[in-house]
Amino acid sequence: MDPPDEAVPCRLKLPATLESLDPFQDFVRGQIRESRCPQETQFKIQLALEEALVNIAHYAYPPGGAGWIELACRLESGGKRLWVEIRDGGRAFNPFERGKPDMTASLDKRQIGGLGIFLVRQMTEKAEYRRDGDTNVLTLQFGLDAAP
Amino acid sequence: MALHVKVWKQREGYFVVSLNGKLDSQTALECEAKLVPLLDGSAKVVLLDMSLLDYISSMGVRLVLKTRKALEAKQSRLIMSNLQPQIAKVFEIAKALPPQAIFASVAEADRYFDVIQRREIEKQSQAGKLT
Repeated sequence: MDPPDEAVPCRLKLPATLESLDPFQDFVRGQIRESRCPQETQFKIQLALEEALVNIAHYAYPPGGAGWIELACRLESGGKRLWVEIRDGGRAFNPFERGKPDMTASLDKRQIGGLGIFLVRQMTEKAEYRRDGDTNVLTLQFGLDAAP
Repeated sequence: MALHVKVWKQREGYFVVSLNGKLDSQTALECEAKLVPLLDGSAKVVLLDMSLLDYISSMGVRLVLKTRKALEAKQSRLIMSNLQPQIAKVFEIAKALPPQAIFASVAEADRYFDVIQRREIEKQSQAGKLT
């Protein structure tokens, strides 16, 4: 029997550092193992997660601050879809609607910052941001079927 | 999994860099350290061989673009070979966009355009004053 869509998601909470990337990736990989989705789909999930998590690790908290990231994920639609929610307690930041551009930053830096978020959009079926109290909530959805 | 970088001289002034593993936020710095010695102008061509590279993130793309820029400043070239499909796709996404399209929002792109245009107009008007 497939679990219902309302299945309680699995959660993992770790420090908002680059060292947490691998444990988060392993955690999600473990969740989708049984879906046996194609390599291309696994690559997309890995890339979108990295870009989203690196963004938070770099920008959400003040340097040296003890920030956290909580990732929740579950399979939906009888295992045909992966739902991932990434929360952090950093400053309000909507990556899809960035505020004033930092005109003092080098052009390269701004372009690539934009590229990371652009890749998140390209690799997901759906990517949404919302502010929930004092928490940033990023929701990503992936289709686990073979890509067309 | 990490990244293994091998650099060798293929010909005089022509270096091959073989990337094996993942080029991402965790490995880009160590990779950059291995590329820096090639950026002094003695290498006329640097080839990034990506046949064993199976993952790249925006940090990796950024390093490739930065390296290319540094080489071009010395009239040298960066070339790449054997991109796996998923790697090629990421470069395609990055390259298919004209630079101004990589901004995250229309407003940001607008402002960037405005600044460039204003500079251009200022330059022209100054040139006009001089003649």
